[in-house]
This record gives sequence, C-alpha cells and structure tokens, in this order.
Amino acid sequence: MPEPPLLRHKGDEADEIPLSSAALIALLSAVHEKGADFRFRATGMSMYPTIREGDIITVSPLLRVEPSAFDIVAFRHPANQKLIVHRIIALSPDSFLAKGDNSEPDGTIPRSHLLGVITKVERNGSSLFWPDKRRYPSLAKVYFQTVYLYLALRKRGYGIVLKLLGKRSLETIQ
Amino acid sequence: MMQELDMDARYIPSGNIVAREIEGELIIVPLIAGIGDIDDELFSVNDTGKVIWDRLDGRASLAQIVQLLADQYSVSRQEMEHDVRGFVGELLKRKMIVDARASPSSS
Repeated sequence: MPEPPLLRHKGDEADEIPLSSAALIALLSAVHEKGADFRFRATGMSMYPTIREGDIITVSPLLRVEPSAFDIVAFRHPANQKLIVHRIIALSPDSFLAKGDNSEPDGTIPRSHLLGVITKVERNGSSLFWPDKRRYPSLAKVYFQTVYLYLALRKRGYGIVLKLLGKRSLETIQ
Repeated sequence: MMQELDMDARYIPSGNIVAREIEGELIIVPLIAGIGDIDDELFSVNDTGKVIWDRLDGRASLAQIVQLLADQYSVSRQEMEHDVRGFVGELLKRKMIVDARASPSSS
C-alpha cells in the first residue's frame, strides 16, 4: 500500500477538511436519515442579524419538526443546488417562499428541496434564542416585525433612526 | 504503544456513525447524543484506510483482512498487520466500529 492508513480529524494539526455545498447536503441528509440533528458552521451574511458568519447552526430533521412560516430552514436551492439557510415567508403543500433576513427573496422553492428546520443557533459558545412562535405567537410576531423594521431602516440608510431605536437592544434580544 | 487487538475478531461500522464516500473521500461523522456535529467531529479516511474500512463488514476477521491485503499489495504480513492494527485501534478508540459478535444486528 502506498501510504499508511490514516484517520484524519478535522482540527488536528491545523488540518481542515474542506466540504463543498453538495458534500454538506449529502452529510446532512445521511445524519438526518438516522434521526439525528446536524450541526455545522454558518457562512455568509444573508441571515444577518439573526445568524452571522461563524455561528454554529443545528438543523433538525423534518421527521421531527414540521416547518411553518417564519421558521428558518435549510434547503437545496433549485437553481444552483447550494445549501441555503433562510427564513420561510410563505408555505403551501407543494412549495414555499424563502428569504434571508438580509437578502432578496429566493423565489418559489419546491417543498421536496427542504432539508430541515434550524432549531438552535450558537454564537461564541452561547445559544441564541428567539420567541418560539408555536408557544408565544404574539411575542414572535413582534420580534419578527422588529427585525424586518430594523433591516428595512438599515437598508435605507436611516442610521440615526436606528441609533434612536437602540440597535444594540435588537441584537441582544436574539 | 500498539493497542492489543483480537485478530480473530470481526468488526462492523458502529450504528452511531455516518460514513459516506463524498467526492472520492470517505467521511465519517460520529453521532453523539443524537447530533452529527461536523464542526467538532468530522473525520476523513485516506485511500489506504478506506481499503481496510471497506473490509470491516463483519465477514472477515482482522487476521484474514491482513492476509488478504498483504497478498493484494505484495506487502509483508508483518508490515500489513502493523498498519491494520494501528488503524483499527484508532477506529475502536473512537467507537466507530464494534465487534460484530457483540452487535445485536449481527447474524
């Protein structure tokens, strides 16, 4: 045999095991087939401020969590086959509309492309929470409206308004 | 120090892992407390390791695997046993394989 057999652990000796989007989806699906949650590190800013670059996301299998509007979900985008983590803004039996909190809508996605529901986000070792809309629908509604107001104002450059509203308080309630 | 292994034992992949060949590479993710955590627990196996992994299906003992691979790759039995012991010992230490005799799913 050309080289000794080796089991390489990500993180050992500064080793990194690069995974493509397709590889991530394959692993996520395989882990979900066993009924387990899938935990991985987020990249990109399309879900800012709810999810930031480097946050650790837990995706639960659809067998355990039924997705509904305003849930953050993982799905395979039909256009580029990439793994996307965005929020459902409308849902029908066959498809859903998704959008990042900080990006343009993704369009209509077939429901068969859904991979799982985000059930936990961790940042700097702490879990982040937002109101559970199943248990606290009114509080969740206020939360989501506040997030969208914040994003709309930020997009339009109303920095002074954000300062008056207390931008930091919004970020800390997640 | 090399781990003591029963060379007559037959091993199979544990039910608490996910192993997939992805883009030509064997990736192993342990499932710990119901979570497959690729941020902390992601392993890859090189081509030589994969040759051994593919034979850990409960049909052949470690001794048989050593003999088979030594013949296949024209390597001394001693050298092959050293490599197999090291690799299988690492898999056992990380609970990625189990003794097929002790596994409830084995026949």
